[in-house]
Amino acid sequence: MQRRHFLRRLGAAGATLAGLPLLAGRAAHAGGAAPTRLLVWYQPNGYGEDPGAVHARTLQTLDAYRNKTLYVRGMHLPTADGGHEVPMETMLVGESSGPSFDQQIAEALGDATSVSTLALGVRSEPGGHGGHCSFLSGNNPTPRIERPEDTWATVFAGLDAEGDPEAQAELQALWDRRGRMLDGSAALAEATRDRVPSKHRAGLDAHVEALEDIRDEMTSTADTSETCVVPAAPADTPQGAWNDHSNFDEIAAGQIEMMSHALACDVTRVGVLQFHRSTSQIQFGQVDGGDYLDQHHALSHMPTETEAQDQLQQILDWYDARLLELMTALDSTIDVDGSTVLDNTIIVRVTECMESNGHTFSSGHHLVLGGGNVLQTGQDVVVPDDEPLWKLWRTLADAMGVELPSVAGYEGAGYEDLLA
Amino acid sequence: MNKHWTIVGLGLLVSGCYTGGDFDAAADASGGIETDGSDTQDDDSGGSSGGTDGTGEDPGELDCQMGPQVGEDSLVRLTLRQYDATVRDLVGVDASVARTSFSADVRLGESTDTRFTAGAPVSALVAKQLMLGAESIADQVDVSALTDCDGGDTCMDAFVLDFGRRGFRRPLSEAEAAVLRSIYDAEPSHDAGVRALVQAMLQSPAFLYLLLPDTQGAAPGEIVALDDWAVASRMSYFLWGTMPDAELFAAAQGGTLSSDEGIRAELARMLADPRAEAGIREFYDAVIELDFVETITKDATAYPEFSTELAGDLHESLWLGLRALHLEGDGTLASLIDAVPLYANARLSNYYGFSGANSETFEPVAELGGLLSHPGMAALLSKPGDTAIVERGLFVRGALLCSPLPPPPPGVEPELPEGGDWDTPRERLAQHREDPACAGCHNLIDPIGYAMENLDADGRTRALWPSGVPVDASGELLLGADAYAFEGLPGLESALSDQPQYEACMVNHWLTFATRRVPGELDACVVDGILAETSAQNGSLDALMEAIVLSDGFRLVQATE
Repeated sequence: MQRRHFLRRLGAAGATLAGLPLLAGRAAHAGGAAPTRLLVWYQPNGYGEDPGAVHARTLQTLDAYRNKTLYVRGMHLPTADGGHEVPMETMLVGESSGPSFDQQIAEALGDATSVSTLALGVRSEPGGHGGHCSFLSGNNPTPRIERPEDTWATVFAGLDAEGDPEAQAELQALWDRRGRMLDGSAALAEATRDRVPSKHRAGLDAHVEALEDIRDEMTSTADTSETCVVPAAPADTPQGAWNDHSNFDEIAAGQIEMMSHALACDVTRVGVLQFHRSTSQIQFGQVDGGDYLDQHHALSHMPTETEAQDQLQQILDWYDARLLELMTALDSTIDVDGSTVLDNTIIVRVTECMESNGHTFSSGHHLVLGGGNVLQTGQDVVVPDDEPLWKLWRTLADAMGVELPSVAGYEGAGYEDLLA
Repeated sequence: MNKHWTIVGLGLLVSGCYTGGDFDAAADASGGIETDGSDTQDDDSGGSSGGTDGTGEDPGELDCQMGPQVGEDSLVRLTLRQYDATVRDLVGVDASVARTSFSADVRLGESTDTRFTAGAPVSALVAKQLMLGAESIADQVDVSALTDCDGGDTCMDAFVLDFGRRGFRRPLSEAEAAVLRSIYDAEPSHDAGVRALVQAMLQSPAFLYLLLPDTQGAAPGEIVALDDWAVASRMSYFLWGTMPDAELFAAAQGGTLSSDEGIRAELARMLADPRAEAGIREFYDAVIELDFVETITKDATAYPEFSTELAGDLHESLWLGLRALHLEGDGTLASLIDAVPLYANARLSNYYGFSGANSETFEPVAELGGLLSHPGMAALLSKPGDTAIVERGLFVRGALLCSPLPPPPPGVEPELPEGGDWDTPRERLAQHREDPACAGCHNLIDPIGYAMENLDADGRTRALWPSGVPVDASGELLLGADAYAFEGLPGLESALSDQPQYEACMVNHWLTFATRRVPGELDACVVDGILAETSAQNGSLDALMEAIVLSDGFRLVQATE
């Protein structure tokens, strides 16, 4: 498995790449204030037959970060319908028509960073009903990047030219060319615009705005700091079908690494990490290198079969281990305020049901990890089951410091006692 | 008023099969085929949503004699497949860049039960993916193969016009030509200039969007005919999944696509072209999830001989059958249900007991039955270790009858407990119908699934259930107030194959696929017309294709503000 590795540091010298479009840390470090980030971690198919026991085991795995963990029990998902797809598509959206609460926050943060949201998938690309949890608006999922090398090319390419005049010259030429292409594309869009009925021009305008966003990103100047570590370009992912499990480990490790760097570099303040999709049938490799485990969703519906439950727990353990890797990466990076990036990053783990076989979501188990500078972490909290999950999303929005009239359609207050 | 097979919203009918839930809301959200004026709506199994498609269309009772009516088009971007295929045909780079690196397509409709898709809206991330993809493609272009112009002004002007016309699938405006030329001129060399043209083209809206109907001068709501260029483009993406070829462009240039005869001629040519396979394959990927067949895995204990290679063979076999149905014979809507040619190789023959295939080469071995009889479908519609009666029934209801069932009502335990006093799956599932909260829907689902119980989870035929009890595959197909009793899969196929609701469902699917527009209520007359034309030709699939491309829904657009 590819392991997290920090290969290069882009320190003060990085910021001297005059005119180059460094992406990182545009606004993060002014005055030494550290930004608060949000990461939605989605893993499929719920928490087995006993979510409480599963979480006890997860907390053991994450024990080193117990004081940076908030375990909230209670609340229900009002939109749960006994299946996978509807909860998947509504758990972050709430009873609104979209966007999901993470995208509300991203929108509220505006252009504080070069990438408003970095949504990464791990073999999650086919989408479809039940294939997305984060939405820019109704029926418009937040687009995800599926391969680590594409994430790198999108977010970090060019940052590794430091200290290499030839590479810097090539990079400058590339960005110049890109600028001309973006100008040309925008001009072509403008030339086409008159042909298009005004009702559809909004779509074209959004397209042009997206081009301008890239332009802005190119012209932004970076104030990179020791926080920002540019990862090495990952190796190309072998071709595979969307539900090909053979590279799941590697893709997951790569995407986790990319996400941790992107958060640390303040490329984005809102991240989504989606592992496959609801009703995932991904098969995981055995810890001991034996045959692949059975299909995840199928295992989740074999509540009385001991071997199936053992395999299901191995899958849940796999996710816990990845979560631990991410937290370790973020906690090992010192942020500009002297605390760690993890202390300034709220990670919330979500799944589309609690009890896997019953698809219940009437009494939740929720882990909020990190974010200790804005949340009262290090505690277990029990809240009423009849309160909606949206109340937690409101809490996280408050912790992110954004003011919204409603969060996921919920206009009530959050759990204010959980705020630092 | 005659019965309309009106599509409400998304071509789906959510049956109101349980009470106590907010069925109306669920149905409104999902839409459905509505048979207005029919006698099938006032029962407890086939309720209509009565909703609109969300576009504000509420035309009341459509009168098909009042002139053409079509719903609104929207801005639809090329799907990943279409993008890759168009890049291949435009610049000769066959690299599947979009499918490899771009974000996933999005569903055309909110709740469509199939996977018809369109390109995702262009956000900053998507724009960046398009930019990086265009760079990669431009780097791979063989400039000398793309143009024999060496950079002279005259020939470059000509190349820009030709390249732009092919990329935009229509003649360029002067402004567009000027922009493209300026992009070329800004580069330091001819080679760089051509690559820059490619890069800019692949990021431009006129390339990326399927149809930008030019309805200037028309009043909102006015029905406007597509010009020949747009018809050519629509035919090409419908039938080939890619841009028009030189002949189709020539037909557009010559104005022959404004006539029925011209369209018929191009349709015949295009269906005879190998590229027609792409359109058919994409359709079935969306409707029956054909591409998932090759990913089937089975419980290694229950089916130790089921292998990845076998799943791949099942996929190929099913595809070859569907291909033959459309392109090699006299396929009909009915024969999709009851007579799909069966292809096999030696591995499939050995596993499933087919006779006549003794090598790795696939060959027709027998006419096993229809789509549902194919072992690949049976295996796809199963759990890893067991058949899936409910899932099989839901598939027929949703994909073949456009009448999906709503999810279980809140509070209902969706999974039956393990164990219990039963010897057969039928006995076990009977519990569903003992519970009033479950009975309404499962009366519609389970009996359909019973029909496939003679096909095991790996697709092999079986006469006995694991308990040793002979399989009872009898059931009944409930459609509105009508019940069609059947014995086994042949009986279900017989009951389904000539059902108007099935035929209307397939027409809706094909029309959606052809136009990348979810039909609305205003398309009711279009659907009726296609259905009538197809039925008059005994449900011929060729006739269906022709009826679609000649239909108002395909050739007309509604002007918008």
